[in-house]
Amino acid sequence: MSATRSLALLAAALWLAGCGATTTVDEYRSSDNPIIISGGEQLAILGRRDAGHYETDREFVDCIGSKVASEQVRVVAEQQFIDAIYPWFEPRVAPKTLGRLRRLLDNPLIEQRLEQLNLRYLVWVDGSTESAQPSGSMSCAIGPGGGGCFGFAQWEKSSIYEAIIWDLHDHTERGRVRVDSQGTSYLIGAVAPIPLLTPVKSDACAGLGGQLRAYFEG
Amino acid sequence: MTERSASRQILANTVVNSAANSIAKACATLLLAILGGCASVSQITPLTTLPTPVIAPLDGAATLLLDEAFRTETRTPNKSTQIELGAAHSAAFTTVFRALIADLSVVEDLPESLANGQIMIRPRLREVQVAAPSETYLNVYEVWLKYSLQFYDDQLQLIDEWFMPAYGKTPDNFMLARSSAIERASDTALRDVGAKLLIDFQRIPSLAQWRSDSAAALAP
Repeated sequence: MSATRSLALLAAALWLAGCGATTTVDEYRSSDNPIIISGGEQLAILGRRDAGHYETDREFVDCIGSKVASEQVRVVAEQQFIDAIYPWFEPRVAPKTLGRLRRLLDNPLIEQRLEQLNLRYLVWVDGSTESAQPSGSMSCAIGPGGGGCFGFAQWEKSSIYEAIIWDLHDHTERGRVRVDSQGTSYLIGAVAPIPLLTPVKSDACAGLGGQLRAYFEG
Repeated sequence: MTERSASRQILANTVVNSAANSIAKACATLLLAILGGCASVSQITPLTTLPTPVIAPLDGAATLLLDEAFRTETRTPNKSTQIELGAAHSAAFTTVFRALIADLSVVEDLPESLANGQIMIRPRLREVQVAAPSETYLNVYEVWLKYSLQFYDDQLQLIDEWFMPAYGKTPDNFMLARSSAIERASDTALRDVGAKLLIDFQRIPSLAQWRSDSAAALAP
């Protein structure tokens, strides 16, 4: 009885610990001027996909878009924007610096297309979510009388993303927001495997999305 | 043993043998199914349609030859993967060249002659490579496509052959079946083919003469 109670207490403690991720949001504004987005103007949030070993996942970019979008702030869907301006924002050729962006906007066709979209800001999101190697051990067995898993495993997860805001009117960088979310997830084998997952990615999305929204809503 | 009990024994043996045969057959069928499953070939047909490119077309006239071999191209980069690229890459090259060249005609058979000053472009798929996470220890599926573009002058003489590699990958392999992952990577690689062609076509040295002649012909 006491052993069951101890196990239940341990599970509850781990549940509470496992549910919490530590999220830090840092921001940098290049000037004190507010970021103005007037009626009808839109912004596009794009993921960086030029690195070899990772790429910013589309679900994360969509998640930030859903956090930033409001009646005041209209967000163009990432794929819609990339298709509308094909091939200039494909991973091979997308501008990585403001200098490249300025050169791109020298092309009247591209400038005209951006005007058609009424696009004022571009937000580049770069980063990934990584899981460390799990520690602990878990073994599962099945036999004629039934089966089950016993043991305990835990692993660290971290989401690190940075968003850079480019103003397409001034061709300047307006600010940067960086989010770092870390947490530990657990898997407890008590006959049935019980996962206690830390939502580091959704916390990172909420932190980054909320901060960007605050930028644009002043 | 009486004759009756002997016949009962024979009947029982027959029933046991028959049941054993059925089990053996079922096991053999199951084993074949498992082995068949292990050796299955993923048939992949990329479905991507390139968006209309934002690019100013070059002055000049050209013919794009998409022969039957190219339109029905199927490659087997490894024993478990077969990619039917014909329809998707034919559509992609048509979209790209229609955006790149002001006066373009697309043909399926080798023309007998070309108009004065016209060039003919014949794309050919040279190589397809596929890599899965199990082979590279990366968390992504990757596809490499290598094309060449053969350029012919108005006398149908080969001027140059220009090689063009393209690359596509999946964001990760989480919850993706092998075939749909390779399909996604192939779609990305075809978009990359389009991007590379749209950016680099105007810089191909052997076409400099054709570009300047075409521009001069339109000059007032």
